[in-house]
Amino acid sequence: MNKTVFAYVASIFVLIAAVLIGVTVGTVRIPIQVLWNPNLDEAASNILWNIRLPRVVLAGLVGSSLAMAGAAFQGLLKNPLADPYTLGVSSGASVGAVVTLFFGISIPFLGLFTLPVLSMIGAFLTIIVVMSFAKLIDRAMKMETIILTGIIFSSFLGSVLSLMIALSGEELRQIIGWLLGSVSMRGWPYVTMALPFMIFGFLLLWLNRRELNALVFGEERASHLGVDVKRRKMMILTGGSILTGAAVSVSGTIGFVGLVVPHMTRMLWGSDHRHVLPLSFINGATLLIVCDLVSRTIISPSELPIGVITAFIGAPVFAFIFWKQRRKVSA
Amino acid sequence: MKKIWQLWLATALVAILLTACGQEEATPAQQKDTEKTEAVESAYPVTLTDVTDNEITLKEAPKAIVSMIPSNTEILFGLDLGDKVVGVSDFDNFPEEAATKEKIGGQEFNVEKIISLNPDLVLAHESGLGMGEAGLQQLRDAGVNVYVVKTAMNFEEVYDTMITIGQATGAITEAEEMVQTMKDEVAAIQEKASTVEAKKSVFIEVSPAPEIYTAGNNTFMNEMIQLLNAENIAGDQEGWVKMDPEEIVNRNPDVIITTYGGYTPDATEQVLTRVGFGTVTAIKNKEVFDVDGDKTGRSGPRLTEGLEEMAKAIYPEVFSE
Repeated sequence: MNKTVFAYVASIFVLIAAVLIGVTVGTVRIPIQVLWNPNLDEAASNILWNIRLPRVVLAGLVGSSLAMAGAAFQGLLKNPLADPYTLGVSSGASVGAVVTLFFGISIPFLGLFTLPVLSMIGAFLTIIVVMSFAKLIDRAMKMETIILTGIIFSSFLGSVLSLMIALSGEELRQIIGWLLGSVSMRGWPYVTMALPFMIFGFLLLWLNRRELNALVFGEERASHLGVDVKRRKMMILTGGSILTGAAVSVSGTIGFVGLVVPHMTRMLWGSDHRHVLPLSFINGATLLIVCDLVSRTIISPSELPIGVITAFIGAPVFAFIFWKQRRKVSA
Repeated sequence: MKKIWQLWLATALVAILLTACGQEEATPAQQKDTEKTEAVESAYPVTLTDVTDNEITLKEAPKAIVSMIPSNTEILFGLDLGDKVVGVSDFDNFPEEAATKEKIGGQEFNVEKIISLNPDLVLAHESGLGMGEAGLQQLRDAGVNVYVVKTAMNFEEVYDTMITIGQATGAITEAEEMVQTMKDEVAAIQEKASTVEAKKSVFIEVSPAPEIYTAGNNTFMNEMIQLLNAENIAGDQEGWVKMDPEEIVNRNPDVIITTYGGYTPDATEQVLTRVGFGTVTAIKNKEVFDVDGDKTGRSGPRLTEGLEEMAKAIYPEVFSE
């Protein structure tokens, strides 16, 4: 128990540190006092509140959503390689976004929001189609069926993306930029747009934390333990997909976070989903806030896409934890 | 993921290569009087060495030319050789007549199609070498004369390109006229710009939020801003860069110029209402303008038009007629 408390305290502490550093460090130096005293420096306060803070918050939300969805998918599908994108949600969201850029669509009343909204719609359509198709093939919805269906739809939608990229001219830079992921210049509206979906997805997964633990022993065992397997499975898949769809629609496809943060969490603090889910949530946010910080400061005043940084920073960290854990086991 | 990476790299390369460059110069480019080389009627055979050190010999003026990049096409049409052009790239949209020509593809061009058009001259471009070198070799192997045009880095190099294309096509007089006209126009604009008292700072936006890219040093845009006696706030950056929006606000440009109005509706509107940019001088004074990206990015005869559009946007009090 003690160790668990420490895990939460340490994670939250590191997250708070990341947020504070993320808010204060950047291309433009902003003294921390500006946070609570906007009159100190009008211009700095404008940059802080309208450009930098929404960026940090969005990075945190996207990171936590992806990490938590990844943890749920890995647990449910009992596949260490599963990540939020396994079911093809990200490809669906990407198709929605790239179609917007490719055809230069701008829906009245939505304006700049056309892209995230269409992307969200793409994500949800993909979930519905993947689920229905898996159900059609296999009424019991076995994990293998779900994974295979997801991969097939992912590939198909991926080729639709490649087709649009191949045919694009002027929009190419924007499309590639979006696919590589970024939380730059989204502002508060994107945060408020994604937040309700993220909360909903978070709750769906949180309510199933115990069932996830039971499902680890196999569906049959879980149903003997009194879990309504089919219903719970649907809830978990939906929750994870909603989180993923919301994250991808506002920031593009940011890899690595959803795959690796849950693994790190398990290595450090065990595999009880009651803790893996919230801890992944916290640490996913931290990782992405740090990655965004690096992406906007490393070659300042230019920016790198955040998707380039995630694995760059994440992989060595993961390797280090992995190595330490193995050493412990063999010692 | 790997695919995306390769694509991105390729795109980045293409973006860098497609960019023409303007060298930083302390003084405006000195007008050099080009020595008029007397155009000889019977200049053929012409032997030319291109940027890949490949030598071609033309026995007579080419009657069927394939142009593989819009800037070459614009030069050819500008030299009154439109009727000789038999094939153009997918991106060719100027002049209107160019759009009616056979299309040979874009970055990935169709070698068979080009050969089937039976050209005596193919005008390729250095920027396309990354993806197209093998295809060009196939063309050469098929006995087609391929001339790879050097990527122009500034106005001077555009003039050189024009003269070279003139030499290859037998339109040397027209090419010299074209260059002279452009030089005169640039000089006139520069003259006017030098009278400006309060120098303005400019931010060029080549793609809209959220992925704001700008033109830094070694781009035509940058050279134009310098010619116009203004300052590019991204002049310390190299080529096309994605700039941190905080820094854009911090550097506080007097004018913002967008170049994507052609395919993004309400380009200037989007900038004017951008959250967090309210403190920027250009937005406070509503000095946000859209100029044609083709005129400011293609190393062809319309560059001076682009320059004029930029001039009117930056210093309307001096340049508005």
